This record gives sequence, structure tokens and C-alpha cells, in this order.
Amino acid sequence: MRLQRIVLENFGPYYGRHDVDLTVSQAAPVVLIHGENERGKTSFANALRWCLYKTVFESDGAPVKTFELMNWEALQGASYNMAVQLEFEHDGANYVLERRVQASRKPTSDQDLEWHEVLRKGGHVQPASNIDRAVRDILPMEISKFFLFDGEMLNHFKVLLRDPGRNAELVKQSIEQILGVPALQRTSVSLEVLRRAAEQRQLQEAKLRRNHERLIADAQQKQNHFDALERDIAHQKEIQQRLEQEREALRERRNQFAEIQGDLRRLEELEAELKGNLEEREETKAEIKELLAESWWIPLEHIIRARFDAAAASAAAESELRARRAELRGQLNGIRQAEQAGVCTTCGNGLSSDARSRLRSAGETLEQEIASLDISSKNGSVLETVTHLRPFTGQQLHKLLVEKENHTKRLAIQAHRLERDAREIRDRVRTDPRAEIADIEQKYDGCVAQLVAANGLLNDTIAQQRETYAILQRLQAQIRALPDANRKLAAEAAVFGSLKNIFDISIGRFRDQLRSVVERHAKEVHSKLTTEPGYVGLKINDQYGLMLVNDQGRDILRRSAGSEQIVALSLITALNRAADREAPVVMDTPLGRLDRGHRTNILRFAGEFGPQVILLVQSGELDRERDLADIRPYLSREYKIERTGASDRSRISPIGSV
Amino acid sequence: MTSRTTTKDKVQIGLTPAATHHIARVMESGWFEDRQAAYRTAIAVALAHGLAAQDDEMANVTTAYNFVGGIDKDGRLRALIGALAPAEAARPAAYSERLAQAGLAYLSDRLSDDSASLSEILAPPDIAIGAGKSSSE
Repeated sequence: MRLQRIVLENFGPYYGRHDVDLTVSQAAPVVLIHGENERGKTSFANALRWCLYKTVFESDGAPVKTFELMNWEALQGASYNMAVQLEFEHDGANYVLERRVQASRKPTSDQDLEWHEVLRKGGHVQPASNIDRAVRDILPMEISKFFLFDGEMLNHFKVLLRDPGRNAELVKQSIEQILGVPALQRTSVSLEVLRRAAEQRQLQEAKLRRNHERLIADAQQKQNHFDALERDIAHQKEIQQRLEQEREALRERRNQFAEIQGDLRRLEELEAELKGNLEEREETKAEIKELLAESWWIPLEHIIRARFDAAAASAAAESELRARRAELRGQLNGIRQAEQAGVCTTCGNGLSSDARSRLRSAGETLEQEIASLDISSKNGSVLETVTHLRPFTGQQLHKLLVEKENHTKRLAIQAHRLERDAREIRDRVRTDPRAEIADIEQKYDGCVAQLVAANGLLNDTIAQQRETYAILQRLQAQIRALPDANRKLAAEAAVFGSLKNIFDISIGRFRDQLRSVVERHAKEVHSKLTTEPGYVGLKINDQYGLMLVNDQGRDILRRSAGSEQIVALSLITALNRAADREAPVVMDTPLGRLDRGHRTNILRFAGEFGPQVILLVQSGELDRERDLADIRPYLSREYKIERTGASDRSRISPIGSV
Repeated sequence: MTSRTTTKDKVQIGLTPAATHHIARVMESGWFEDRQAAYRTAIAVALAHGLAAQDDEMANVTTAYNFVGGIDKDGRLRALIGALAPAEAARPAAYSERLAQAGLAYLSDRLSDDSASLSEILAPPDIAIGAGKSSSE
């Protein structure tokens, strides 16, 4: 298949009709289309896909609704139609495929669209019912990912080829479809059908012979059992597949809830913290109430303390004065006694008149001092004050009140923060999905359990079928050996059985050969594309996954994103070379992840990717001034996609002459 | 000596209509266990700030509490009045009623003002009031 022309009409950003010549020569197979982001490169590639397969997929694999592909401006202007016309050559015949949708009013779903499809081969209109089959014969959609792909898809190949699960098997099947393995497999299946038919006829004929009825009945029963088991296996595989799909869907839904679950856990924590906070606040408030009830004199605390301290000091001072007065009185009494007796109270000797005069004078001085001591008459009331106020002077009650109140304030601020955080989460999680999450978890676990049971049942059934097959073959051999058996039919069944075995062996060998051819091509392409001197080769595995090998012959397990892309490009080019059909390679943004060295290598090699190569690039990956020289020898046509005026319209126009 | 000192003290004390209104507002603040606790605190606040109602403000008092057996059953209030307002020591019940009248008005006013916290409202004044001073003296 080689593309010759594409005509877009109101497709994506392409308003009106855009006619693009895609013819290339054998020596210069490349068409280069420049366009910045959001200009319409992917829409151009999508137009090709849509025209061929009537459908377009998002990068995550979800199908895009056709009415969403229609040009917005055309719809605003009441032009409710979109069309893509593709002219191409295949196996020496010229084809024109046109798909068109239109609506009588502005479409809001694909149901509003009316489809018109025409396929002309050599100028002759083909029956409409044959269009999809014809396209499928030329380039099946399943393998189109190896011809029409965007740069990001290269990464998908890496994932698919490394994943040992179902996806890798699907990729392997697609690859083998390109390489032509299914034709051989179909032959093998056909041979098996023929063998069984011969055996069936053999059984029917043998049935007529009454003397072998028991053997025939046994064989018939086993054959029936074998067929029933086969139907069971097919049915169980269907169930298995359905359960796997269901499990994946549930897993995806469960993953979607992972973030919400985190939020809900945090919300539960916040609610628990809020509850604790509220309880603590209530507790502290109760303590404050109790404090006020039992120590209601808090507002008087300083006054009480000041008054108590003053009264206590006053009482202490008075007490000191009284002690001093008692002491002075004692001294005065001693003087008066000595004076009256005329004898010294210490030594007992008589006192001279001079000594008596000194004693009198000392007594008078003491009397004056005693009289000067001011003893308050209020001593009783001061002591009473001290006694009354003492019970109020224990703790620092106001300080305690401040501490407790500050604690409630801190708790209130904390509660406010917690409430705010909880509110933010509640705003995010509008409806409480806990019940839904629990339901999904339960369904997921149930589905996994069913899948395990289904796998077990399937394995059992397959084992039973093998066993039945062995018994059946033994019985068939006995029937063939019967003296009155139909030798021709027996030989026919034996030949078909042997042929099937030979085919199965051949398919295995053919696969090995194909893998070896693909590996050889991939190795050669990779050596031209890579800039890493340490990588000396590639090794292919059963899944068509490619491993890089270093100069020591060891596998290189860690590969950069750019290196992965080079490996994927090598595989795709190798598949195109080894394929049993020829198709254009259309690459959307293929150089985005690559460094300059790899980009240069790819551009220099672009002419060898396939018989026709359409590259859709943006300035970040291919600078026209700098890089064009690398690709110019292979370039047949060069276009530019650009905006027209201030609108969202895009147009595609040729750049100079190549 | 005023005439009050020679008059026999009250046995039952209570609330004027204005004080009844104020104590209801004070209770709305949620800081007091019961009205007696609020009443006692109002007395302390008034005593701290040197506030006491005049006799002519004390009309239409509705009896609410027994002084000796209720509001001051532990005698602490009498002890404080004796120590801090000795001039009123002979009639502590009547004096307490006038203090409560003024203290409840003060608390009601301050607690309804969000700008002050409870501990600020109940903060002991730094400058002590004159001992035994009352508005009626």
C-alpha cells in the first residue's frame, strides 16, 4: 500500500477542503510535515486512521467519538459535514476510499450522524458491504499500530513487549499477523478439521458394521465427550476473558479511589482529633467552672495578698516592740532593786552615793526609752485580719485561670484548623464514597476468586480433554485396524493427522526463522541508529521483545527512554522489512524523546524505514535550518501546518519545491 | 457610723429586676456552674473594683438566697468583708447584695464584649482599693 493523496474536509482543525499530495519516489520515500503543537499534526494522522478504520483512539486507548472530530467552526456555520478521501495504490491497483459523515442539525452524539462510504478500485465502485473487509485485507487495524503511530506509542511498545501478561501476547499475535504466521496456523487448524471429518465418516461407516458396535459406540462417545470438552474450554475461555476484563475494570476503578481513600483516612483522623479536642475543651471549661465556683474571690486575689502581707508585717513589728519593752522593763526592775537596797546585785558590796546616783540616771533613761516604744492598741484587729485572710492566700488562682483559659484558646484555634482541613477534604469528596469503595473492593475480591476458580476449572478441563484425546486416538487406532474398516477413510484421517503434526512443527520452525530474520534486520537498523558505542547488538525473545547486548555479550537491563525508543524503531523497521505486506510508515512526533545524535541518525536513516515514510514533526524535534540537510536526499515532499489568522483554523501547505 | 451599722442585717438576699436580667446574661456566657457561683463572683468583682450599689438602687429585690445558709455557708464572704471592708462587717448580707447588684452589671457588660477574655475580666486590679470603701460611704 502506498498513499497518493489525502483530502480533508472539516476534519479537526482543518476547516473547508485541504488537498495534500503524498506521492513519493522510490529513491526519496519521505514526506515531511512541519507543525507546532496544537496545530493539527495528530489530527492529520487521525484523519488517515479514521478514513481507513472509521475510528480514532485517544493515547490511553479510549475511542474518540466521531462527532467530536468535526471542525468546530464549520459546525458553528451550520456545515454539519466532515469527510476524508484517501487515494492509494495496492498490489498494482489504484483505490479511492472516501468516508463522509453529515447531520441535519448540529450533532451532539454519533447517533446524529449519517455515514456515506465509497471505495473505488481501478475506478469501479465496490459494494458498500465489502469496504471494511477490503480495507482489512489491505492493512488490518490490529497491525496498523506498526505503521501509523505517534512518538508516545514507541513507549507503549516497550511496555507491551516487556509485560509477560495478556498485552504481550496480543502484541505477539499482531506481529505474527504482519509476518504471515496466521496463514500457516489456519492451515493447521483446517487440517485438524479435515482429520476429524474423516474420522467422523470413518466412525459412521464403521457403525454400520454390527460386530464392532461396542468399539464404535465407545469411540463415538469419546468423540462426543471430546467435542463437548472443547466447547466447554471455549466457553470457559470466554468466561476467563470476561472475568479478566472485569477484574481490570475494577482494578482501574479501585485505583481511581486510591486518592479519595487517602483523603477519607485523613478525614477520619481529623474527625477523631476534633472529637478529642472538643472533649478536652469541655473538660477544661468544666475545670474553669469548678475553679470559679470554689475560688470565687479570684478578682480580689491581689488585694487579699497585699492586705494579708501588710497585716502580717504589722503584727510581726508589734511583736518585736513588745519583746523589746519586756527586756527593758527587766533591766529597769534590776536597777530599781539595787538602788533601793544600796547593794550591788552582782557582787553584794555596798553602793557608794556616786554609784547610786548613776543608777538613778540609768533608770530614768530606760524609763524614757520604754515610754518611746509605740505599741499599737489595734494589735487584736491586725491578728484577726491575718487569721481571716490566711485561707485565701494559698495558690495563685488567677494565674491558674489564665493558664486554663489559654489552654481552651489554643484548643479552639487547633479545632478551627482541624475543621478547616476537614472542610477542604469534604469539599473535595462531595459525596461519601466509602460504601461504593467497599462495594468495589468486595466485587474485586469476588472477581479474583472467580477468576482463580475459572482458571482451575479451565486447566482441569484441558487436562481432561488431553486424556480423552489420548483414549480417542487409541480407539481410532483399533477401529482402523478392524479387518472390515474402510482403509481409504482410515488413511485419509491418518494423513490429515500427520500433516497437521508436520504443519505444527513447521510453524514452530517458521516462527524461529522469522524471529531470526526480524532480529537480523533489527540489529542492522539499530547499529545505524544508535550513538552508544558499547551496544553491539540486539537479541530477540519469544515475545519479539528486543534486548540490548554489550560488547561482553551481556544483556543491558537498564535502558534510557531515548534508547528504548531507538530499540522500538529498530523493531518496527525490521518488522516492515520482514512483513508479508507493504505499507506506509506514518510517524507523529517521533523524535521528541531523543538527543541530537539519535535524531540525526534517524533523519539520515528515515528513507529506509519503509517504502513510504510520512514524518509529522515540530520545531523542537526537527529544526528546519539545522536538520533538513540530514533528510533532504530522501525527501519527496515537504509541508507546513499553520494557523490561519487569529482563528483556530489550520491549513496545510507545501514548502517550496523539494 | 452610718445608720446601716445600727440596723439588723438581712437574712435573705436577692436580685433586683436589673440584676436578674444581668445574671441571666452572665449565665449565657457559659463560664459558671450555677447562678450562686455567678452571684459570688460578682460580689468579689465589685469588692475588687470598689463598686457597690446605692440604697436607692435596691428597690423591688426578689429574695433568692439565704445568706448564712446559702451564699456564705462557709463564712468566707463574711471573713473577706470583715478584712477588706470592716465598715460593712456588721451587715455583710446587705452589703453583699449591693455588691452583687453592681458586680453583675459589670460582669454582664464585660462578658458581652468579645474583646476581653474571662481572665482579663476577672483580673485582680493592680492598685488595691481602699479598705472598707463602699459607694455608700
